[in-house]
Amino acid sequence: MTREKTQFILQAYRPNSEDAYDPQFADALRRAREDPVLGRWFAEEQAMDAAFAAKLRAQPTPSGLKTQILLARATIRHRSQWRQPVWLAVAATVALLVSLAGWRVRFISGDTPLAEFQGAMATAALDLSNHVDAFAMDAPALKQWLTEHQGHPDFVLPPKIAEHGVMGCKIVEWQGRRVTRLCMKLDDGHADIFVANATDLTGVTLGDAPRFAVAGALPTATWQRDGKIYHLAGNVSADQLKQLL
Amino acid sequence: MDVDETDYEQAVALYQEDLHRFAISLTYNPDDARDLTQESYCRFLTKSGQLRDYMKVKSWLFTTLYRVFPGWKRREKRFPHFDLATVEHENPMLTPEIVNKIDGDVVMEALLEIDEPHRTPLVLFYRQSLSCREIAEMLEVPVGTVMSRLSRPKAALRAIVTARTAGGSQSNGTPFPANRTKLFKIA
Repeated sequence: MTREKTQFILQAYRPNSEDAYDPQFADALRRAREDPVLGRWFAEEQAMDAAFAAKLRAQPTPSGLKTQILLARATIRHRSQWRQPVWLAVAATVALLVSLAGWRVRFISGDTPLAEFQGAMATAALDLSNHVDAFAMDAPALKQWLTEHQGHPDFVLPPKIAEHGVMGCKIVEWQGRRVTRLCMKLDDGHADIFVANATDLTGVTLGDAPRFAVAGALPTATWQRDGKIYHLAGNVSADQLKQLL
Repeated sequence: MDVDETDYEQAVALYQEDLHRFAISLTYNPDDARDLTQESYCRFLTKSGQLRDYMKVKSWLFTTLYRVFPGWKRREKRFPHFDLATVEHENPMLTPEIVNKIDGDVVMEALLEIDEPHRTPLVLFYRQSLSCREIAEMLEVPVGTVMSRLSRPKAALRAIVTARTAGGSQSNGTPFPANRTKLFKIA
């Protein structure tokens, strides 16, 4: 790769983003580290980008815009009421499909409490409507939210998942018990970790080593730690799921 | 996904400022930018059934705004385009220290001088801090095209800022000059 080509690539490099993992950028970054001239140019380019970005981000947003957008919702909701029967029909169809999917998962997995739990959680993971009730929170805020909503704030995540971070959470119900769902965004999809009290799954005893399985179409891993059952399910490949643990 | 009140309010709280900045960068007109931002949220309410992944609310809103934008684009046709080459030779050394001292409105005005197809990747890069792949996905172009659309516009932006600074151009206090006359078209 020539110096000009490397500069061309590095001009589009966004620091602290996924760009660093792209092979093309990774190669160009390596060259910038090895070539002092290129390295100086890149440092200057980054400084210039930071200066321009700071100037452009400082532009103010008009006051009242948020209120205007929120007020517009009432108008839109009113305008779209005629569509309600259609949406009710769609919702009914989706509910039927989700129920059938859950039934299919149960049928495939058998009827042990663990299999029922795994099947129900796989169904919940596939249901993307109202997927999270709280999102974009830092860890203390997330735990506070879970405390207020009778979830499982004392969950302990495997190191890689903890480092990755969760995007949001929701409390789902399973056989009248509360289960905490923690949702993560992955490069090619998303994964959910469900946390339940071990006492809610009668007769189920697991170790802290993940037990891998497939529930419905989703690869899953289930383990137990400190009186809680953790169930990981994601719309990713089984290998990608294993790499999270 | 179905959008309930909480979803909507969170999406407004989290993204309205970024969306509005993006809209300003596209329209360089505050009224159009407000309308464009609001229209994007209206479509979020009515068409978010197309959205399958909650994590993609932000990119869905940005993509929607970008697609709605052509209807707001008519103003641009009033302005003549000038080739970048006309300012490139006037481009002395610009340093980060100089940029730090320049009025932000001057930089914004310079950005708005760049023609839209090249301005948008620049806006997403500088103002929204998107990665190259994210910009490519949003604009539905290959990553290599994004690199091309960042390379020359970055040079153009520096050239225009340099020309304005060297020419003693001072901001009139508003980022939307009523007497805009030039738009730099990058060949």
